[in-house]
Amino acid sequence: MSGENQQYDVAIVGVGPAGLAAAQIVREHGLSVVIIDEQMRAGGQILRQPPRGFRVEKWLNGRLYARPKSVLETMDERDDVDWRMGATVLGIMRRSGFRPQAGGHDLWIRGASGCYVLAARAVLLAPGCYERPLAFPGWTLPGVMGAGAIQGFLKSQQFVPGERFVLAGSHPLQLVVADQLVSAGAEVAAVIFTQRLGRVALAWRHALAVLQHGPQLFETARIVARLRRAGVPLCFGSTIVEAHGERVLERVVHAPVSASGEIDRARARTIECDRLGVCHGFLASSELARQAGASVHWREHEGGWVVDHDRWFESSVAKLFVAGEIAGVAGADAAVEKGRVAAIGVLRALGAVSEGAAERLARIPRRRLARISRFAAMLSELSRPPERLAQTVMTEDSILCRCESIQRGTFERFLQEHPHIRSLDAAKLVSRVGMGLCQGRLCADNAAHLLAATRKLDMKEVAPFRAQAPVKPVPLEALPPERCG
Amino acid sequence: MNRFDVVVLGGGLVGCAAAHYLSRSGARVLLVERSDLNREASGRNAGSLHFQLEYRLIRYGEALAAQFAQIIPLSLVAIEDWLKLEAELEAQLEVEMGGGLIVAEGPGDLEMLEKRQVLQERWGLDTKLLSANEVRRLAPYLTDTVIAASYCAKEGHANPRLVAPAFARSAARHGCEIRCGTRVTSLERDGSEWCVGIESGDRKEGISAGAVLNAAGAWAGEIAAMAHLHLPIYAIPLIMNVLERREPLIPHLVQHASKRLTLKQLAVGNVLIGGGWPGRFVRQGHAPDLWRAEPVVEHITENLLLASRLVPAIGSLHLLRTWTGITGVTADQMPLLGEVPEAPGFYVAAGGAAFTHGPTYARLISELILNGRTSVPIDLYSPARFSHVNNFMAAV
Amino acid sequence: MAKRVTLHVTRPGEVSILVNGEPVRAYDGESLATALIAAGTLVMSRDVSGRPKSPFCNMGVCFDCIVVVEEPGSDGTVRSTRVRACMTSVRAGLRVRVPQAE
Repeated sequence: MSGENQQYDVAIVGVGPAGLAAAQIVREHGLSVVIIDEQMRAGGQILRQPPRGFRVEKWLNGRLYARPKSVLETMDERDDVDWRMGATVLGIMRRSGFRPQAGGHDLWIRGASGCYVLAARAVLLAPGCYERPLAFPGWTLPGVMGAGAIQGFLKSQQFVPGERFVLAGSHPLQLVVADQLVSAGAEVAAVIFTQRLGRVALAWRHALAVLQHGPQLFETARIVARLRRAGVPLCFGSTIVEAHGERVLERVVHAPVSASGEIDRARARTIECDRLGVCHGFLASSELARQAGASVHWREHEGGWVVDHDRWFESSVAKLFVAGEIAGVAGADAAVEKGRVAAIGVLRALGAVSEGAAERLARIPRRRLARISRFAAMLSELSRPPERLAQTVMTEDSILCRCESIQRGTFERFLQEHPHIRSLDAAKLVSRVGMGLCQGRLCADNAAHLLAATRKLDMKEVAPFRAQAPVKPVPLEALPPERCG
Repeated sequence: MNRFDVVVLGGGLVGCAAAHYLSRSGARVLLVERSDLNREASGRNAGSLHFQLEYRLIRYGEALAAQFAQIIPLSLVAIEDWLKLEAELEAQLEVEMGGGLIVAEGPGDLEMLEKRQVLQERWGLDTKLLSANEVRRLAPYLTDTVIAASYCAKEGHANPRLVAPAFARSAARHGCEIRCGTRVTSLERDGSEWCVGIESGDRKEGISAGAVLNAAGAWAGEIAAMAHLHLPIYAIPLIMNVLERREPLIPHLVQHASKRLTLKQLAVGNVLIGGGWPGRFVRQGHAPDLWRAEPVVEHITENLLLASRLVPAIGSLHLLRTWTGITGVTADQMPLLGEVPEAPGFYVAAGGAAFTHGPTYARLISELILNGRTSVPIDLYSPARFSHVNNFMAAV
Repeated sequence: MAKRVTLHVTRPGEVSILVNGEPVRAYDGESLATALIAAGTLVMSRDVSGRPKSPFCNMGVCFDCIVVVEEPGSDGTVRSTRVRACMTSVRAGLRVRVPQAE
């Protein structure tokens, strides 16, 4: 294939805060770097840049973005890095044998005009995360989106993708999105939190004790004040339960919810809106790492299946490193520091720095990471939806698998019919849940919890869907080797 | 010690089907599976019901092809078995026997089809050689480089996801005990009884059995080794690809005369593409890990480009997933089906085309275990033909 | 109505694309999902049971915004490619088919 003879010291997959920070360090030590990312511009989801040619004054000026933004400004479009933007890594295969590049990896990549393979001595995966979906009745209606999806339109496209918005979930991100919507001139009909106000306030008081993060918390407090001034109703202790509309979203229903996830449907209320943004946390995008053979472990509140790694962020596969959210969802500031430590780990593994130098270089990022992690853990605690909420909102006829249009009840009947099934992958084979174009990203979490609850299994036994190349669907006509020029 | 009439090792298609036939006849059966049912080749193969001689059987010269053609009598039985299977199991298996085509694109291909035709006629398989125009009428979705095809009206496909689980459900209804997540740790013989050591998590147990059926597919050799026996079966990792759904287009099983290809469209609309392109075992230190394989990018690409060249309409469809199913091939490509002469009471059913022929293997081996004879002769496939490799083994 | 933010934003040249044969105003480089929603086309595909679908993730994960881009080949034929609207950049003259909007 055309890319066969292209070899790099380091391939970085995903160029959000972690990938950017890692690239900077690797380049400072003179190793060659190729960066591959599905988006057209660097920054990841948190810093989703406007298209080339757009000029946006005061773009993402808030303090929340300060640290990753400074890394982006240093690295973006630097010409000592080989940028493969708009390209997707479909799979990673190990190189074995006695060739010089043995022990490294082959990356199978879909580029703009075809597919190719390139080789790297070490790979650093930082593909980030995506929103953890809640499968309530009506969640498949056009107009229901992830809160991050709405934010993507705002940050990058400078586009308000609807008229009257409701945000609902458990994550503080929805406050940020609501604020950005309001300042873009949209109407926000309500921001609905599953947590009670008392619980949120308690967590905040704890957070203020971690003084370094005071500025971030004050920023959030300012956002709340701004939303109140704009007359946006904030509602606590309530969950979205239904979305309705003829062909597209017209109204949503929310109802009080307890900390254990019991919903008081008798006190449900309806709000008219044409867009709903949902935000109940994030799932680590660990598919590529798993496809490459890296082992994972379950972390309910830090991204689901996250990749096992050592103190240098090397996964169970030699010379395959991970950074950012797939090493445990903890936000952009943590991602930057993880990217730095992982990059130093890469340098160490490739013999570019000595053991002692690696330890010295890693000291400051490690210290920062430890500090940020304490704050992230607190934020994660604060952002948790009520226990079992995912199951209490999912009615018998809610769509569990969007792609294959399979309802919860149908899936559970399959489980009843096949009492020997214990793994999610085996459940997929009998039910088709997870067999569509999203490759199970939007149903795996809910299906796994259903299976675990039905069979009284822990997540380790349920296990994730087997991740297989290509980890993103690719049309057959895009498979031929990429044409040069 | 818990006693069963038969312990079946392996929860794939053959094991589940044998458990069904045995327990339906009143035998007390234990089915032991190391992970989940239908997890390996049985659930991950192409689901082809191919009765014509496959490319892998025809490519090694005429003498060997003539020898491999001895599988056709078993295919004729399998055709009848598949026609009855959904009714017998009262289950939807997506059995579609709408015909199968082996297509030729050049004179060399055509010559191979003609030789196939002679062998298939000799053994009584009803197939027909179609001209380019006849192919066009029957299969307008094929590209116009196809100049001829060999057609078998009984070929088709079934859904591998559904078949073994349906057998397992029926077996369970007939009282079969199924233990998943359970490994075999030892096999010992005491007179006419077998003692099977099994282990599940921390729990260890010895099971007494009148007979043991080795239905461990690619790993049947590992199981046999526990009884100090050789079975010449080798694990091979084969690549399969599935495309997203589309409207009905391809009612046939499509194969190629001289290239590795099987192509079919499932009832729900997905297109399944394989044909024997190998993946690669992942290495664990120096040795390959025979339980874990990864695909080879060049093979996926060639397989799919061949498919989309033959059926241009699938070019815009997304490849959803590829996987590498680990199956077993015997030293002479024929199945291992029968009692191992060196170890009375130790039976094997593995190798060959174990999806197409799987239900039939299971039915016949169950007859052999229960009655000591079969309704259809299976001597040709007996492990007795490899007795020479066990001549110097001290079987238990 | 969905709308583009104009305050503090300077966009490159306005371009015209064809959606189901009708001209639609868009900006060079913006995402096709943006251009379609701005033009009132929220529903982009249908699921296997016929239910309408539209962008859910806006980051290339859900595949619910698949539309068809048509490019005329050199031999006069039209090459149809199925793309995710959220991952596709608009350029002048882009020809798009959104079967669900017809």
